[in-house]
Amino acid sequence: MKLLLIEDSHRLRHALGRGLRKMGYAIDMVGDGREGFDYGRFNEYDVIILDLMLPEMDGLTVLRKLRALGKDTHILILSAKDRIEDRVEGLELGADDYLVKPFSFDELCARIATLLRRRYQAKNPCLDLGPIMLDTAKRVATREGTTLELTPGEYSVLECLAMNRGRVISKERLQESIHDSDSYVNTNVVEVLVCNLRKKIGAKSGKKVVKTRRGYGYYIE
Amino acid sequence: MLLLSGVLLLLVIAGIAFWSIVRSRIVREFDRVLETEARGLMVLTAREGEQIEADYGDWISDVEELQEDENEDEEGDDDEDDDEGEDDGQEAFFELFLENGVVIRKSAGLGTMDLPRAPGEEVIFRDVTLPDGDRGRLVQVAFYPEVDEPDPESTDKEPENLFDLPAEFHGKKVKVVLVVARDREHLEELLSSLALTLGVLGLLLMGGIALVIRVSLGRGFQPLDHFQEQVEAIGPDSLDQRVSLAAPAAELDGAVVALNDLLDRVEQGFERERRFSDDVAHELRTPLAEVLTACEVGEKWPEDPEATRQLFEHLRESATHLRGVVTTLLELARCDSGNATVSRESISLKTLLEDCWERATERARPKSIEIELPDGDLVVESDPDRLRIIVQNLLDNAVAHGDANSVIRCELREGQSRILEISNAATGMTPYDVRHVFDRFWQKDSSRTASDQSGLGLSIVKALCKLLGIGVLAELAEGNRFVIILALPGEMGDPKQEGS
Repeated sequence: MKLLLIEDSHRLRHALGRGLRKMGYAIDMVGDGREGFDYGRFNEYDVIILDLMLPEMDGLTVLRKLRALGKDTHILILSAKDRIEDRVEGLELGADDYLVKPFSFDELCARIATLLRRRYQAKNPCLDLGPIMLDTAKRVATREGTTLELTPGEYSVLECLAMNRGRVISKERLQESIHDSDSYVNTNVVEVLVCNLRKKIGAKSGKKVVKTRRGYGYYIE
Repeated sequence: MLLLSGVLLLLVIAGIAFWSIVRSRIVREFDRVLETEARGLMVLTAREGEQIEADYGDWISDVEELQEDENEDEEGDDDEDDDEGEDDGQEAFFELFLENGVVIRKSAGLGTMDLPRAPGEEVIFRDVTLPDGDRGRLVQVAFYPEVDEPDPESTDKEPENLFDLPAEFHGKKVKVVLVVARDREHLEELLSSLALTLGVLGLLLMGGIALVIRVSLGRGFQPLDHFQEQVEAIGPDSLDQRVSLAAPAAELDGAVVALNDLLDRVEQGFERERRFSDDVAHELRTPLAEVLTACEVGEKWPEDPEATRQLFEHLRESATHLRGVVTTLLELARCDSGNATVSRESISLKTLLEDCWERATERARPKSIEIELPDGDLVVESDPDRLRIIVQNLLDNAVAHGDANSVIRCELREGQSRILEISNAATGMTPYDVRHVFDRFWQKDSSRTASDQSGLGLSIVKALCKLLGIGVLAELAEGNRFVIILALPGEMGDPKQEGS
């Protein structure tokens, strides 16, 4: 799952970046509105986290322009402006959620997860994948009650495939969605992650859960 | 109301004046008739020998005839005039006296009554009450009757016309006084009906004027009502509205323009307040968010010592920034409320500049900004802590917003006051910016954290300068240099109060 953070405070970018990566998200971070707009229109993100008071181009303008282009990526506004008028304006311009600073990190994560569920139309945070259960809210996978020890990368792959259940996801797409845009990795990493993931799911059940479609990619049924 | 009272008063006065004028003209006319009658009778008064002849027979019968005619007329209108109490008595009376008051002859109708006789030789007109109770008016004339030669042959002298002079008057010139009186009830009736007519007309006129005034005032007030409606509709949420007149109205134009200007200023004031509170919110909330998130993330994943160290470093920076903002806001609040106590000490400006520059070098170095300090020194009397804040803020501001690879120049001058001038290269700065540079939270770039400046710097400079009695001025000099000029009090000098 890939996020875009448009926030001008470098310290906040740093803290949030670390935290969200630990949560298993891939995240691109930019510090001004113009760059944010460019990233937003040219890349695919699951959620965009948007600050309002930005240099170059303010947050509401970025929002307006992205929506005008027809981008319906979920956008969560993160702002110090807390008046009702500000919240209403943001939501009316096309934002999907509005969180006021200072905020709780847990709340931010929960709201991001909600937007993801909405994106993949999976209202139930718990996904039953057969041998294993995936709780996208808590971001854990369990097998018969036991939590699987997954690395963030492994969890990301699992979640991406689970959310896109029934669809074949190419390696490139997987790689894009689980890595920051500026990380230079090749698709081998994805193969390694899938391999480790299968092992952790179970020697036999691993391949049953995460299936391969030769020449195309992976999928979960 | 005032208008109506005024008009009413005018109408009343006009009515009274008119009525008085008419009355006096009519009375004068009446008097003229009286006088003519009297003169007529005078001609008929003659002295023959020791007798006075007053041959008024024709006059009397004329009067009686007229009286009969009138009575007939009145009988004809009996039904209506029955209870009016009009005069049944005579219309005209006369009385002829000797100088001494002895009556020579008088009208039959007088009965035992005498017409009043006033002393004096002139022609006198007076009001009188007639025997039948009616009001009348008389004329009194004193004259010497014409002397006729006694004519022994005339036989048609009526006895009643003749009067023998008392003995004392024999052989002497005799003066007689003739009084002729006429009933003036008709006259009075005429005047009453005139007064009544005037009164009724006046009231109608009043009513008409009141109506006209009402209507035209109503029309006149319509634009005012419209104006009032618009003004009432403007509230704190609709301050962008302006007032306009449906149709041009000269009396209101000035007021409309003035009001719209006021609304402009009020709207700007509100805007400034709103921006200020937004900016305070952001200024305090963003570092708090940084602190909170850093703590939460550090708490969740404490394993990586390098990452944790970095988080703590950021925490310190955020907290420091927050402290700066809070301190500045408190200082501003104190200046605003007038609660600040000011001390006075001698301060060397050169030393102060050097100290402050040392603190600013950390940020100046990456931008390769240098400083030109003044050669000489100036000593001023001021509050040392606050002056330090002022100078530090000015230098920090110059470093933060000045161009890279440029030079900050500091000059000290002695003129009418002691001048400290700090200038920096500032391409891209416009006169508009200079006008707003002291606004709270004003920053050229509308975001905040990018430069880690709070935007409060120059506004605190302005507030502190005001507190310490230091004049401060910002301007754009040639070569696009941003210049701040401080005018400081010397030792025990009087501060030059000068706003920017």
